[in-house]
Amino acid sequence: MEVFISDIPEEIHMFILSRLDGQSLVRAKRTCKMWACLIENLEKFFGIWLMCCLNEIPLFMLTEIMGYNQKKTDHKSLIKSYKQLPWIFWREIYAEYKRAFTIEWAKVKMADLYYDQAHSVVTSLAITDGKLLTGHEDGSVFCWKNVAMEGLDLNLVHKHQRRVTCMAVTTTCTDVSELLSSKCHTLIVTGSQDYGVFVSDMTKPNSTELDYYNLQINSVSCFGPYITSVANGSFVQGQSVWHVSTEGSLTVTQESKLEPPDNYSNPVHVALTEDRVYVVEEKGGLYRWTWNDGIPNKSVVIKNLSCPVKSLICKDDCLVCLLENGELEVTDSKSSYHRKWNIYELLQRQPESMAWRGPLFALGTKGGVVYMYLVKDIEDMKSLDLTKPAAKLTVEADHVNHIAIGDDGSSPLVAIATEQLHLSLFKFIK
Amino acid sequence: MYKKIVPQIKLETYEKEVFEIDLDIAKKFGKLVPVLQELLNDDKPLTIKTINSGTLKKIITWCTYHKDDPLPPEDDDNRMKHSTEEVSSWDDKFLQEDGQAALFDLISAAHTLDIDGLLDVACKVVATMIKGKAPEEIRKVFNIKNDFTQQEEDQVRKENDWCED
Repeated sequence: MEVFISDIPEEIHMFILSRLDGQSLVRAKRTCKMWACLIENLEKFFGIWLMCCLNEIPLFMLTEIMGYNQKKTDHKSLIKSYKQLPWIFWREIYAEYKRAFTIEWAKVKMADLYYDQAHSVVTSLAITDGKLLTGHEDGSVFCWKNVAMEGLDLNLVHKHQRRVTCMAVTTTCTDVSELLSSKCHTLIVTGSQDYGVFVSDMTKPNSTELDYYNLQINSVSCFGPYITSVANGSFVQGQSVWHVSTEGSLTVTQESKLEPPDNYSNPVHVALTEDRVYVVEEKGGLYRWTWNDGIPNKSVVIKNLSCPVKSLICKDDCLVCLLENGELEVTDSKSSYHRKWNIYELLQRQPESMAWRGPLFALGTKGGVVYMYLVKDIEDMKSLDLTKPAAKLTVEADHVNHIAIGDDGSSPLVAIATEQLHLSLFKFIK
Repeated sequence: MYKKIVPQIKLETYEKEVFEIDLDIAKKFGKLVPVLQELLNDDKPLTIKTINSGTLKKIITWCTYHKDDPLPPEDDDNRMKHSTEEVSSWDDKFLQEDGQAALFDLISAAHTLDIDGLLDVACKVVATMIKGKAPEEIRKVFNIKNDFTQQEEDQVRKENDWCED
């Protein structure tokens, strides 16, 4: 017997269509008017895109794409709070996540951004909301608006006295319903060799400086409105976590002070999450602090990496370390899992930098080659096959010093800073 | 000789065939739960005209196989919500073996009788047939007529160009 789909009650169609993944949903929408109409109902009245986001994207990646620092909560309250955002927002987030997987890497186009105003190389890099942020050797911090239009608008955000050593970007809202409102401010935090940590509010031009070390700042990290930083010798004063308030003028108050570990050298990298701080010191010791009901515990050594660390990325409980000896090490601090790759052996190139945003992971190597990988979750990272990159991006330079990954609203963006006096920006064109 | 009496209820299908169903199984039919006691006392079968004998047999087999499954958690949310659990290979084979028409009958019947577990898994099986296919392939599988004009189709395509491989 032949079945005609139009003979089946609409309700049944809805049940079936609601069980599709986002990509299939979009294709099903193109088959006939009836399905197009039913899917439109699912989108507008049944929050199907939020469901697709939650079912298909790991939460840490989802919140990263949203530009929001999600505190731990149960699934039901999460859905309830996320439902406050419009359905179209979730469709955009889903599209942003998914387009990384559907890129035709052969059609990637490169643009060089020349900066006349700052005659020194880029020493730190970030992308947020389609804006490119660069910190320079001479201490200047620039914001490149309209990156999609090849950096037509260049603004000086701040001028440190000396080299900018680190940069972090955060949004201040603590409730997801504020995410799209004016209450949510984007902050840029930069650290410098001039001993200063500078906080700039990109939403409402405003800034403040934290100047509490007498040593060079090595690393900054943010979680929502919280900031932490490490500097040479800063452990002597304990590890501080600061809270930034954007009401009225920008003010910073000390939220908590963590006791330094017993034996330590200079801390070089820091990563802050809702209830943890990870620090790597110069010899490769990896420390962690946690809070218990707001009271910080003493630090514990998670691991001794026995090698200085070039770069540290923290996602959820997963720590990715790029070591000076050319190894990449992934540690899952929850399950005490760890794995090591010898990048030089696998790629015959010396690794220099890395970046991970959403499902894109980038590894920059000597000779100007950046390897791009698709990493859909932590498990993918753990089983990463470095010899099978999704793409190789090449720049005319000897070194890949910094990489930043972002999205301009229609395609992923990869910015690469080298020893040259310009930036390379890769856009993906369909 | 002593014979254990299993309480049963009677259902009459579209073909006027009467089925005797064990109470344990009938309890899975959400729709019947409020009237079970009545049905047990009554010798007259309950007639459900929208369900045919083949489908009811299928439902009884499915419910018997899944007799000991834990009950799905009570939720105030609607039926559009679903578990993220994968379809077992037994379910997959069982639900597909009689073809598409039978599967749609089964979904309708599961909906009528309010058997959430079966509805969920059967809808998932159909959803799997849609997944990963291009619009034209989907139309072929489900015998759907393309009623878009070229212009309309281009419009929908343009809105969602990010999803194309």
